[in-house]
Amino acid sequence: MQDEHALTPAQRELELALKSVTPTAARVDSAAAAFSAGRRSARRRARFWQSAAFVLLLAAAGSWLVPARHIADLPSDRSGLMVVDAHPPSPVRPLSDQSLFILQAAVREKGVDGLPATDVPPVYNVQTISTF
Amino acid sequence: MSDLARLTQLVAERAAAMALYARQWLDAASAEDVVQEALTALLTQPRAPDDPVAWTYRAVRNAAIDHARAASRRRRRERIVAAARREWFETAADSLIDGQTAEQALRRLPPEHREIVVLRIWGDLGLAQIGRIMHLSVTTVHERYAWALEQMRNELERPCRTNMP
Repeated sequence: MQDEHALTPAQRELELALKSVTPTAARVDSAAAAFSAGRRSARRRARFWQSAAFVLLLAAAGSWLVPARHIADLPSDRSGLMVVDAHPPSPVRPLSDQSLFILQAAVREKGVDGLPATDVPPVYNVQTISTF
Repeated sequence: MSDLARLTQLVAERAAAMALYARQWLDAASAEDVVQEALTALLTQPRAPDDPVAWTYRAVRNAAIDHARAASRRRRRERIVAAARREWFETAADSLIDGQTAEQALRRLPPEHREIVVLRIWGDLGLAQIGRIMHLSVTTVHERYAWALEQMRNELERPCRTNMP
């Protein structure tokens, strides 16, 4: 290495002499450092989720406010508005003979006789004796 | 061994040297706090740095400079220093040089040179690592280191002045 070769013997001797002197001991609490580090990283993680929740809340509030503003921007006086129905009118179908209105009108005019004939099958008078 | 345990051990083994480095700006108590903060910051990283030792030294440096800049902390520091002053080095019988002498010689160096000496000798970092920490080129680090050693050698070899007539 450059520093190893560039030093003079006297400097190297001094280097060794200085290395023999021990610095005053310092206490480092490893457990406390690990605890603080854990707490700090947990706080950082919590802050991340808090920020994410805040952003989501802002987005939700924004999405709620934007359509509301859109509606609020519409003119309040609608008297000038004209509604145009672009669909062509549907053709009126004739009422069937069985419709309630036709039947009511027939009864009003001709009574029960006015009702149209039904296709009900004939009813036979069955006596109990004949069955046994 | 888990990654967290490895990083913790890495810093715990170098805590004394890191605290000595922080003491270039702070008192002993604040220096320990700064090393503790740096360890916490290291463990908080989502991915372990490529060079965790150099990363932690840099974290210690930034935190120490921030602490030193805070006016209220400076006042507190002055009170603490006045109350209890701790030496930079421990006195040991097998040391080739006296701790107090080494501290005095270090204190006489300009701060940017002293920083390099502390990182190189007690931090056991390479010149490239020191350059990355201090935002300096390897050449500049080397030149300052060599100059600082020379200054310290001159300082230590200077004969003691006595009051002899």
